[in-house]
Amino acid sequence: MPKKYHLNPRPAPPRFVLPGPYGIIEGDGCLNCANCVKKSCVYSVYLKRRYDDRQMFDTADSLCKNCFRCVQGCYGRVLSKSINPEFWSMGDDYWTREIIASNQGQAETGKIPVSGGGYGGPFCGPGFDSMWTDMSEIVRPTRDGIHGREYISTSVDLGRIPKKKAYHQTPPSEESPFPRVEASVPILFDSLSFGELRRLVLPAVALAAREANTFMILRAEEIRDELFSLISHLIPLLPPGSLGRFQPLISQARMVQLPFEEGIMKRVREVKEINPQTVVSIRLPLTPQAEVQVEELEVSGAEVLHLLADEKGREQNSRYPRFIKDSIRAIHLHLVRLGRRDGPSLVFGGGIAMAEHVAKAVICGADAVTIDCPLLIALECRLCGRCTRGMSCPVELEKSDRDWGRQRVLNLMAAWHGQLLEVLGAMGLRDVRRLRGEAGRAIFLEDIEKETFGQIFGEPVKKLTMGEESIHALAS
Amino acid sequence: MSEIAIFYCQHQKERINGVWKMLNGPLAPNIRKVALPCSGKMEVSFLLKTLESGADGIALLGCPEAECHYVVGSTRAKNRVGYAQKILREIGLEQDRVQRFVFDKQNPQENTDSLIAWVKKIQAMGGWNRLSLSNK
Repeated sequence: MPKKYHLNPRPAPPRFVLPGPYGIIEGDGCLNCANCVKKSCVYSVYLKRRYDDRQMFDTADSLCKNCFRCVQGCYGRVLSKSINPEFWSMGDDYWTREIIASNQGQAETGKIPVSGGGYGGPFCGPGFDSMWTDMSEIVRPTRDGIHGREYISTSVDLGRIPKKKAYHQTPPSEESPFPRVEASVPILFDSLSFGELRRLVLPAVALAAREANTFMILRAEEIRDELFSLISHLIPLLPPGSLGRFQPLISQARMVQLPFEEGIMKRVREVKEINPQTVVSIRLPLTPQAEVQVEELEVSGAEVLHLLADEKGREQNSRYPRFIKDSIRAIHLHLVRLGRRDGPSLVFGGGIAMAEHVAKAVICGADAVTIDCPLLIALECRLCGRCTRGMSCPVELEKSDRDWGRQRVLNLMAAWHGQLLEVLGAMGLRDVRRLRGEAGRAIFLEDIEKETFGQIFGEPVKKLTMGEESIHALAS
Repeated sequence: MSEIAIFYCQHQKERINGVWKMLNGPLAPNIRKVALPCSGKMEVSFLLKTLESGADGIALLGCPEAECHYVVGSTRAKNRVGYAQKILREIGLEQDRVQRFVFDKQNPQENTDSLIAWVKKIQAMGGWNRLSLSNK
């Protein structure tokens, strides 16, 4: 049995305390009684609290677990709680404060987040929240499958699979005509797309990519000096124009990326002339025309297609954009119908914010996903966007230590990998490659709504209509 | 340039955003605003520690006492700022370095003007000399 893929999470405490969701407000009128609730706090919040002068807030708000023991127990009714506006102003409608806080917590500990109090949120919502994964195979403690004797593989192969031919037609060749690369998790790191600070944290993220045995996409011009030594786990994004100056990169990289343009396959051939063993991926925006583009590129022999939605997972260049999960499903099924899905690997990026999104994207038909913002969040970024406006970073990203950054990203990957194992274990699957396109392993809200309300609101459900027809046939 | 911290009650968010636009320009880079659930959240020790950590002036913006969402939050803030000012006087610092502002609906322009005037006053006052304070 091969050695298990394991990431080594180690605590990497944040440099800046994240504001807590609720603030403790302390009033006047303390009775100075002997039963002070501050002393009996089970989390020792009042003992550990301090005033964070860099961020100018009371750390008690972050340490507090909101059990309300102190509020209820104080004889003088001195303490009360309120929402903390600093926390509630973080993020936006997609990258919510909860996602930021959860990912930062995972980057700190490397552990799967457990709320402990059950799930208190809504059962469906927009985006990835409108699909549920099938956990019907939980018939024993999942720990046995995940951390015990059984092996669940999260490796994915990226590259083109040659079409199957009859044995007598082609002699078995010793070398595959299409090179493939393997990543130990179906998560690749995309080039970070924020201000000037990105250059300072790139080595930390690239080191984490190597340690996690995955890849990081980086602009070819940025791969110099130290980063060049990590080329085995980097995917240089080659700019349009002559490839001459990037020959050393192409000849050593296992995978390179080209932005989509007219006559892209000619450029792919140019890369292949320099290094036939490198996998060439094509980066293109996820638009409503993506299905047609993907089909054309598949026919032309593309190996890996990297389709990018916007940061909130919406299609680009569209007035009524589909969400990324719907686009993935549509493209995947389009290729399946044509009998061409096993050609290129499909990698999707944009809007992947949580570990569950990885599993859901794979269920919809992606081979792998790329992440961008979660890497920044792991490095304590709060997505305030100040750096993009040329302002200073509130968490001083430029001063972050490289080893600390590497460990934070690695911790996040360890937590996401653990959650992927949980999903696979609960589905009874032993390989993430088998999860690709397994739409039967998920329930989609739109399908449920159609089945439930379709009849009432005028759209007949196919299954029921057929049943009615047969009933009418019997009656006649 | 002087470092100024403006703590404000979350219920004054719109007002502070309006003032913030007026402060933008030569004054804004060294002014930092921090939202609070209520101005009564601010404690005397936090005010003094903010000064100690490098701020030259602290403004605490809250609601009028009769309109406080926590009923007594604004009253607490008023008392605490008064107490912090007393400590500043005792240690030989200008008491105006900690100032409370109340934003009411009746006099929006007056409130804004008083805050901007205070910011300019602190800018003119400059940083407080920590060495001279330690020699006292």
